[in-house]
Amino acid sequence: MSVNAAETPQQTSTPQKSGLISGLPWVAIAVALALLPMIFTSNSMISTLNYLGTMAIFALSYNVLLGQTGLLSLGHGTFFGLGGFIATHAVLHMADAGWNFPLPLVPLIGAAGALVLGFFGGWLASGRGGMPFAMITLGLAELVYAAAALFPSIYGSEEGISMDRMDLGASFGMDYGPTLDIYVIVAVWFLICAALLYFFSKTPLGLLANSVRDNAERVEFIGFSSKRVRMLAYAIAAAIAGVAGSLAALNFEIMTVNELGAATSTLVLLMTYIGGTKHFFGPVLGAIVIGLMKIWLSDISSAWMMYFGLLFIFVVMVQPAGLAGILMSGVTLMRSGTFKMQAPLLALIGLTGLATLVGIIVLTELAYRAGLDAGLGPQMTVLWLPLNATSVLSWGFGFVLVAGGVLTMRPLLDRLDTLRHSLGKGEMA
Amino acid sequence: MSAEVITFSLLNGTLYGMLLFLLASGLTLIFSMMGVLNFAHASFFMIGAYFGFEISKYVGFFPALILAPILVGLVGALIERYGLRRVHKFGHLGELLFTIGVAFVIEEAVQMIWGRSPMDYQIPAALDFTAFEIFGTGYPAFRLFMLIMSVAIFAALALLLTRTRVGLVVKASLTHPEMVSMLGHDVPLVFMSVFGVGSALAGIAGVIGGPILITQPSMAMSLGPILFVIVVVGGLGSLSGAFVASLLVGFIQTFAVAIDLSVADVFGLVGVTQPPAALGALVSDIWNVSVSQIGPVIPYLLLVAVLIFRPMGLFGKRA
Repeated sequence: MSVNAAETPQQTSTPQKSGLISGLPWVAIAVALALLPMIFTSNSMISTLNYLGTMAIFALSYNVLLGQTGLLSLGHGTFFGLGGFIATHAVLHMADAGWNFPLPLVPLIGAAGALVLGFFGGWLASGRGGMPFAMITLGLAELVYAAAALFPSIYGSEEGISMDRMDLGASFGMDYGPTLDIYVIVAVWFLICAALLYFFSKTPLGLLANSVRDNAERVEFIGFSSKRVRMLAYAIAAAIAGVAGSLAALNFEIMTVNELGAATSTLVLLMTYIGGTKHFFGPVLGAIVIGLMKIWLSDISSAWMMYFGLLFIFVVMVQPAGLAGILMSGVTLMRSGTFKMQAPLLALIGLTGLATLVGIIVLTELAYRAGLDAGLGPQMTVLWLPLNATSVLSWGFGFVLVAGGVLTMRPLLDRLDTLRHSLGKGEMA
Repeated sequence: MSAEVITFSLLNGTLYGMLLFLLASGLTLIFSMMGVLNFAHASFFMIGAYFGFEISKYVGFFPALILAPILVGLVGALIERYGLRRVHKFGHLGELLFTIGVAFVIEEAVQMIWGRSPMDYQIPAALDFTAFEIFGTGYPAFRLFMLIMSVAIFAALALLLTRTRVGLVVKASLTHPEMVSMLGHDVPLVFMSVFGVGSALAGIAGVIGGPILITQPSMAMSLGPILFVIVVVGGLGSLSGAFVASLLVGFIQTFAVAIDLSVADVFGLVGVTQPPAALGALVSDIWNVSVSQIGPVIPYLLLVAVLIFRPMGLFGKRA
């Protein structure tokens, strides 16, 4: 979590007390993780939670690179996939050999494998940051993906490699048949990984990573090797991605070559960035929102990928701090004490934004119905609105909402700026 | 390899390489301008193919060859004007992420409009004949046409950049934008035009490449990484480097397909016909690998090797 610069000088509390306070969110998260399966009891819900937890770990690992070290990796999916394959083969071989290795510790094997590969990849990629880094990671990822087709005995062919997670036998009082058992594994690993990565961001190495992000040249001048910092960050991110991949393998009991392809790498980039790279919990938020979109929205609408892409472009263009940034600016607003004065304007902006959103959804759904899903007939209901893909009225309705929303938004935002400016002046005086 | 195979591979390799260069040249120009690789470039190639297919249904192939690239160029210019220019303030990372988002949305939009299955984009009847025969095998006129088009555009682009006033302003805007602006040229307009023209070049490649490569929603994703290999191997921002790298990748890919040789064949020469069973499944995987299977891997190996040993690329001036 980012430290608010304005608050830092006021923190005069004793270290012990602040340690207690900083521990509270973790306890809250642990309690929430324990309560979740009691609220969402159905098997499919728990399976969804498993998926979200896995993706959250994956996104957190990616943010070590993107948010903390300022490295854009275009091949992070490689380590997710390789971790998963390593875990799958580990389970298969240990089951063959008749070992009773506890299943919850399998992600350790995936992580160790990914760590070694991450060191190797990092050694190749981390000479420079920025564009060359992005290109090398893309090249390495494509190389691994293309080469995977040559080794069907490792990566399987079209159908991938499958395994049975119950083959390793019971341990810790669970036999790992039910999805709930896997949830326990995912939840514990989520806590471990999140705590480790949070701890990492506070270590000297984590702070150095931030410095490399902000000014690699000066880091060199102080006497540290930026290359080595990048390499370590890359390896750590790879290891945690390996944990996520292993958990995915345990959850789905199958790994395919697609898991280490460009789609996975793009997914984690989009998740992390949409969630917000500037706050520690941002990637988790992104993983949850995008994961839920992927699972629920894909049932409702065939346009979900389009919404996903549009949301990403929106975040890139308007709100680079991501969803977490929006959330945190809301918190700052509440604390500032001027919320009441801004409330009417903010409500107007919210309404305008909502209207624009409805317009965009209407237009997208109409376009999909007119194109890809034309076979379903022109009649449809979107957000309780009866629409017809062949009627000018439906299309006009969407256009009016979007155009009206965009046109009114500009002056409203200008007024908000002016208001905040005058409020700021008032505080100073 | 017979002389026949070599000749045809040379022809097809040149053809594929020149097609790649049509794309890589636009990408290189845009990179020199923004300092950012445009991830949506292959998507412009794809919408070029779809526009070409759609327009040629109504007015025929040759008008489509002109109209479709203009449309693609307009789309590109609009994306630069209302998208890229706004994210410029967030730095290179923001710009790069924006182009990734655009590529994502374009792929979805293409599926939304044209569906997920390949289009029936045929070679135009006027060019559907055999141009010449060598070794008793005919070479299709359309491929010859593609080759001539690519070379002609390459020549036109080279002349435009090196021999005209427009080229002078563009080149100066890439290196000294403030000074060019001081001299009274509208630099943002120059940038928008370069982006538009680069996209239009990709559009042309799409229109003429669509009938040969399959026109389908995945064509951008399958071509995009290869393009990056080319511009990085050639040296970021170097047009001549992109040219050499395009031909190199074109030859690698066509020759790899043509060579019918596997590891097993090599061992067969020395009398070993079966993999030693003791070495396990992995060795038998490698045993059956043929050169045509390795083909897709080679460009990426080349990329990684170049990045490690010559980070500025073959013809690049800066790392």
